[in-house]
Amino acid sequence: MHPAAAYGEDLSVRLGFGGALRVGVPVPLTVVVPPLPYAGQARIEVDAPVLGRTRGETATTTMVPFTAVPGVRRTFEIPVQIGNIRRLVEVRVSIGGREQLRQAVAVDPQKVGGRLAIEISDTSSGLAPLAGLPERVVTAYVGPEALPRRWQEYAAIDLLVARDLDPARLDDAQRDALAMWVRLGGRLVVIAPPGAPALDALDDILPASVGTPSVVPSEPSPPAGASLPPGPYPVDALRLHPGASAVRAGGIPVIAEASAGAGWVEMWGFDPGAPPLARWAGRAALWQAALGPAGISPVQIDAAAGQLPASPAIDPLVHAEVGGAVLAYLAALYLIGRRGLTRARVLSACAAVALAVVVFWRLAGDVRARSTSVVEATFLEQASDTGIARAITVGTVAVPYGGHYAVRVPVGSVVTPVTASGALRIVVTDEATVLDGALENGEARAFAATAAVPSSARADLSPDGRVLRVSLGGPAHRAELHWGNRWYWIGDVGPASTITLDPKGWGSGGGETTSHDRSWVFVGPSDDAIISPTTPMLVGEIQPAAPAFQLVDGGGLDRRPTILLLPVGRR
Amino acid sequence: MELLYLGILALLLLLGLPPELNQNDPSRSSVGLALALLGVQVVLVTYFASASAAQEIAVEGERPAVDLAFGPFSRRTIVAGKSLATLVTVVYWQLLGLPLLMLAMEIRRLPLGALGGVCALVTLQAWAVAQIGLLCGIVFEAEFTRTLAHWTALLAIFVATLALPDAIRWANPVVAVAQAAAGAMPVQGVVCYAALGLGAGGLAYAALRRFGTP
Repeated sequence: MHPAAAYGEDLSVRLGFGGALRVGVPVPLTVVVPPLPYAGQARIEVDAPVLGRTRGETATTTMVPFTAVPGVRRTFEIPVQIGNIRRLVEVRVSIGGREQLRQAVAVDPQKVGGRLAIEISDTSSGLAPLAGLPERVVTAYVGPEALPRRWQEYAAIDLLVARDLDPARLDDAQRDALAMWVRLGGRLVVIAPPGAPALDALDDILPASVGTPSVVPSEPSPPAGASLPPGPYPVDALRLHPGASAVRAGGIPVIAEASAGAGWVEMWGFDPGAPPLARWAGRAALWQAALGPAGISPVQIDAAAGQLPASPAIDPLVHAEVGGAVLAYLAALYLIGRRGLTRARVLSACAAVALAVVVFWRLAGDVRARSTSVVEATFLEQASDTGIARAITVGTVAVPYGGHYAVRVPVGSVVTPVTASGALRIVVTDEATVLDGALENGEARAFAATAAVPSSARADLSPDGRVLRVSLGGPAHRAELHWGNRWYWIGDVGPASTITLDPKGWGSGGGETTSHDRSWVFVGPSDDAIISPTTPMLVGEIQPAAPAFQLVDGGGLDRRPTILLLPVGRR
Repeated sequence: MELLYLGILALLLLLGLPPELNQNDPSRSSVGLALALLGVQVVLVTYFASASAAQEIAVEGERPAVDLAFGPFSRRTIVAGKSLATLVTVVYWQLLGLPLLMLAMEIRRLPLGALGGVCALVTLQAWAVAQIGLLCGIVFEAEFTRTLAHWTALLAIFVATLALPDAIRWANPVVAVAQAAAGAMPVQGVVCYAALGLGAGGLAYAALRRFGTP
């Protein structure tokens, strides 16, 4: 009998949110390793299939090393990106180099959505009205334990509904990740009917606090187009936070809503699954409003990756080094043989050859390592009225002579390949994430790393649209004000500036102009494709922070100016 | 002469360093820098070895086989000695070029495993063609005729063999080296060049008889 089998438990794997996921974005994969009778260096390997350009089976392997302790159950949360739903996701656990457990997880095509609505609930009901919407919305129900501890793993979710959520059932990492996701653009609905637990732990992102139980009175003739049905039904009279707006039923604030940074949070003081709301005809519209329009990121990562050079210039010293070494070799042979060949000189020449073999061997490795390069560009999306921003760094790795590369991404970032990639291993540790792969010469591979960084820039446009006030914390260059496909050239902006806008100064379309030295994102082959803001936004180049991608074995790093994307408020 | 040979290899190596010159192109067969270097090396080593044996190039301390025929040496000693000297020279030149080849291949992570076999094949080819040079040096007394015969042999080996059908294209030394570098050592080519070298050596042995050498 297999020793592992004696423990009687198999590997437990949960993919996505109750199986629901979106293709091409990071989703959580939770692996529970049962107690095993082994100790030593161990690792979990997850093969996530991708649709590659090459024939045959292609997978991106994510690896998590750990130290196995006999008889101890371990749980790991691993961000993975699924690219091919027709094939199985394979999970393997190896200890001491020997595979001990293996499990394949199928992706249910019914649970792969264009949009995802997830409810944290002990009962699997409530989101049915969303399934009837014209856009393909996949719904799923999960327990609080399924909530990720990395905010980036929420990327697949369009709407998160928290029903009967007791924040005490979430650990700190889960609460922080949830709050961060909301502030950086997530949509959250908290259902808090009478008797719901207090939500103090999430108070700073909620638009209201749980109030007192109340009853919406019956109305013999409710107004046409009312937001909620007439009573009687029990509600919680919410206590609104400053800046929140409310929907009232019978004069009682039962829906509170407010933006939280770039996100949107609603709090419902009633249970939409209980009568009379469960049979209310307007509930689909209520849910649709909560779901909101499909979120479109202002940064098109594919286009940005396409604009980065695939073959950056090689350090000229690399070639000079080779030339110098070859000349030294020839000079040594000349000096040895210039007065004819004797036995001693031939032996000296052979010694020179042996030395050259060793030196050139090391030189070749050095040339390869120093030629390998990363070109990266960071986009900083400021979350309004918060001290944080989403940093998306797009990096292109090139190995000019072909061969192996290893790129380190600091902890706190979740990194995914921009295009389908086989021959790639992502090693996730507590210290960093390392991308390990191989490239042919002339080939380049793009990755995107997403992280949250502190930033408190803001921009306000006066109500008449003539004056723009910005507070950036540092200077910005080549700044432009964007609104749809129209743009207004501003140029250099100080850390705190007031700019008067000329109504005739607006231009439209992308591309290079002779009058302005526009930023790299607006010129070149992808000129108007990288940035596509749907709301007013200030776009400018700022001083780059620490690099996101670093070559482990040394090599070149070329950094494009960081692009600040600053939503413009009307104040 | 060694420096000229190494200078040509080094120049090719440096000119071929930019990585964009050696990118994979699926639309055509890949001719890598290292393979080009191997091709140039086989041509240079073969030419210099055979030209030395045919006295087309004078080498310090090297005496023509015909001069040795009038000395106290037997025909067997002369042919075996000349053969061995050629072989040592070819190996020595191969050794001198080895670091440059290795650098070119290692930068692009080309498999170095095949390099030993390729070097052995180049040595065999150069030695075999040098045996023809030795034969020319014995048979043709006039320098013009000797040079003409030597170059005719070289052109036949390096150029005319390119017109052969694909199945026997291994007769061309450069093609044979390319096959060996790709991991498919052309065994027929090895046998053919070994036979050519031994045959030319045997004819040289026979040709020395006309000088009355025992």
